[in-house]
Amino acid sequence: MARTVIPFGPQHPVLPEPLQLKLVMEDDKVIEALPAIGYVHRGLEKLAELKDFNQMIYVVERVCGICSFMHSMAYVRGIESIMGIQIPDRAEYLRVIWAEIGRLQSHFLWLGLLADAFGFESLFMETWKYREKILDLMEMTTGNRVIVSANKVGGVAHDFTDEHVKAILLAVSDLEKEMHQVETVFVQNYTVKQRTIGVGVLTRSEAIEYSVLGPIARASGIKMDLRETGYSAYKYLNFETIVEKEGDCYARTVVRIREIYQSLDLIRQAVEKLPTGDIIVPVKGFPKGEVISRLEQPRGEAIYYISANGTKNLQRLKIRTPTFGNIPALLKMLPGSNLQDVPVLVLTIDPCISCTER
Amino acid sequence: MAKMSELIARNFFGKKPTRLFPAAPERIAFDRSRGRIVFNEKTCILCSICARRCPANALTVDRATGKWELDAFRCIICGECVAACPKKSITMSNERRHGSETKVVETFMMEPPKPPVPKKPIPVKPVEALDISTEK
Repeated sequence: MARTVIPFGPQHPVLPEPLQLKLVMEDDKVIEALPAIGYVHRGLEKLAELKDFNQMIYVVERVCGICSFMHSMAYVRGIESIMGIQIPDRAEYLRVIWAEIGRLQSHFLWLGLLADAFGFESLFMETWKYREKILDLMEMTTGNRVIVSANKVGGVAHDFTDEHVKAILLAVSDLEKEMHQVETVFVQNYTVKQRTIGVGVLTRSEAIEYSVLGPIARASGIKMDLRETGYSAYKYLNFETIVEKEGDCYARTVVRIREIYQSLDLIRQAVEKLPTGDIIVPVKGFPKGEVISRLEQPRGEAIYYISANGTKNLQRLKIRTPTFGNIPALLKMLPGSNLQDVPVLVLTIDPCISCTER
Repeated sequence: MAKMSELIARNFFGKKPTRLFPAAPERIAFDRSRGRIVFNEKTCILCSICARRCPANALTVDRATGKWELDAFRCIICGECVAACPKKSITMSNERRHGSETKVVETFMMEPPKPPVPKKPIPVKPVEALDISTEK
């Protein structure tokens, strides 16, 4: 049989981001997938050598629009550990709450995009309706929906008022109720099951071999969640890493749905334990030294390498984002699948190409 | 499938989650919403701290001519200048600026600060001067 090469992307109705896959097809089966990235490279790492280290917070937030808060959190945690700053407990809790709100909106967005990928438009609209409530929480507490700019070196820029706390608790309980209805559609619906069960199976040994990260690793039975290391205020909160064994698209969906409940629970715990006190400590001087700062983003583990030489500009900033580690696993999953499963498979790794290219 | 039909039925008969903008008014902004930067030229001392702190280089302050300029197309509304201003001349409003086809640049002209008066050199009396010619 003759082979054909079909370009999938960089502009594709199902992908919000410019990932190109050259699919080598034999009839309807994918034989090989060749990735081509580099469509949205912006050179943000180089900017670290030109901007003040405080101004870089606003630049690293723009690495990714979805996990913007966590990018800035990884960066400021790195700078704080170089400079030996101990931030107030309240700031740690606020960071965790915002990070979990960010995780919620990312997972809701992903669920909607997955529904869109297998052509379930009404489910897509339904999921994004709930995401809007989460973004409203962000805007109410920080002033912006997505690029929140709430992190500072030494603490956070905004504090919660009593009204905010009430609104957050109310929204959390509302979302939990509504999520149960959406969950039953994702978990029990015949159409969804047909499109996800047994598609793109990544076994545990393959997952270890390809060193996958985040929800994909957890869906393949690897118990790996950086939040368990207890960075920031996670050490004061109770939670268990969510693990599924099957390793197919269905398991990845279930992992993310269960993580939504976990995030809701974490927000509730953190709001209840929220201590009083300052939210920021004054910072003097410039950082000198180098550090590796890691944290768990909605898509997996992000690594920040920061090297500072005692001036206001950093010497080097290197960002390893989770999608970069997950693309090899995608290339493993694609061969052997049908063409109609390609959008679903690409989406289950939750690709963030602007993150990967920075 | 029954669950999805229930959701669809609720959406069909329930309140609409979207609004018909621009026919309907937009959502009222939250108090803390970062809409746009408001500048008060009466209290500004042209110290140019805001221009130095701006991560997007949207602000230009010229002390010689007394000009304070905001390029609204560059501004990312991070609030760094609002926090930095020592005289609280820059404030954040929750009213959003709407889309524009032409470049929006807000320019304020103020009286330039007077250059500092140069100090008079202290006259040295010849009596106190050390005479090295007579030193042995």
